[in-house]
Amino acid sequence: MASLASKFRFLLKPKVIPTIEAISCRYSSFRSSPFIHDVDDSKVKYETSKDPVEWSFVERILPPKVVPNIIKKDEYLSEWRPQSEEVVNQPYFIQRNKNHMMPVYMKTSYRGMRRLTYLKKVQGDIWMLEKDLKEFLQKEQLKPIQAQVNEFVGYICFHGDYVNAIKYWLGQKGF
Amino acid sequence: MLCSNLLKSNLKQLSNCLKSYSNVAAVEGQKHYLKPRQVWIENLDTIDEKKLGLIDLHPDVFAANPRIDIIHQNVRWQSLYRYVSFAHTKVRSEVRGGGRKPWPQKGMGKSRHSSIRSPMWRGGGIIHGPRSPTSHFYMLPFYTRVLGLTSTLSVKLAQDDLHIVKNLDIPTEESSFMQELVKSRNWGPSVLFVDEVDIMPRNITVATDEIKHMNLMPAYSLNVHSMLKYDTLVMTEAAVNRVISKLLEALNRNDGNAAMEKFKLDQV
Repeated sequence: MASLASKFRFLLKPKVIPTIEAISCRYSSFRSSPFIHDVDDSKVKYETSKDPVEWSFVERILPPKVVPNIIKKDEYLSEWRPQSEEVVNQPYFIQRNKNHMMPVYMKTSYRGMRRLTYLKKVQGDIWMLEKDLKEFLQKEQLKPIQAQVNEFVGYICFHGDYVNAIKYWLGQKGF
Repeated sequence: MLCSNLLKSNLKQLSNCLKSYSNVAAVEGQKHYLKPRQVWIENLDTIDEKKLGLIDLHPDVFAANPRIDIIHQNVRWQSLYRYVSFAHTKVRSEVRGGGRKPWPQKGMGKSRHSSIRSPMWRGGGIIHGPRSPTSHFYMLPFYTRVLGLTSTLSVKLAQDDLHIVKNLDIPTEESSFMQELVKSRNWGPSVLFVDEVDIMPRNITVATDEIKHMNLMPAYSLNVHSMLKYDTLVMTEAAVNRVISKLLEALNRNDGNAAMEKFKLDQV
């Protein structure tokens, strides 16, 4: 294979048009990139440091292994708000996901014709939450709201696209 | 040499554990609807139970939903991924004989046949039979494995089958001591002891060596199948803390999508 490649190397070479110098040539073939070589052969000089103070600067730019905790502020520039601390006293609770977002998701199927809205991570009285949410969503709808409650796994599935409505309601309640 | 290497790896584990604690400390600060599960820390050095203190267990790990479907998926995966089926049948070319045509094509008044080992024949080859070796390896998704562990730990705790001890130090090497202790505390016949590292105290190692239904296990090899296999799970305080920190790290890891990628056979 290698011999074949070397035989047709003249064909693979990028062609440069010599007459028009203004046109830049990228040489973006894999052949134009330099081969990997051992670090010891490098001409660049470096020194190994074991200073913990210097290492702290390296650690600062390493990505965190787990999602960091939220920093509470007086006002936020985006629409995102942290969960209110009073919500733990209610009969039901929706836990934020690990990225501190509301666990409301939409699933589409049948080429986008069926839209299901999932409210996940529900703890506590999930049936009361379903009743309250249905009451809220019904105001804007002519058709009756259909929902499936899975108490065991802790999610409610609404038939239809109510992601933003549910997120608005959750935000109002402080979840 | 080996011992020192093991010790070194244990120290490394310990330092990693402390490091992961600091990582997960951020997660601990969150508000939770579920209260932390409070469990007594018991002793193991006397037959009579003494309560040495209380420990708060994280609700995400020890108060998870008892997802028996996920637990079943884990148990099934654990038994299947290492199972290789050696059931084997022979096809017509592998069955002995059958090289010549049993009778001429025409003129006999019988149906035409070319080999006595054709799958039509009694004693002939088997079509679509099991072929050895058949691997049943598959990989369960990462978060299904994590959820399996949290569900099983929660189930064990809710059923009062999880006990936390200060450490695994016992005064004697007698196996009768362990048997009496387990009997008096109603821990059921089979008990799994889990310590943080894989070098256990000598006494408990000798005492449980002859008892086939009492086993020791390091925290890093805790799994769903073993937790269900034994009546009671006895964990040391250090092992519990390590398991909590590792599971919280898994539940809150930053590169969750990378963990959910398709399993590659050559991955490290």
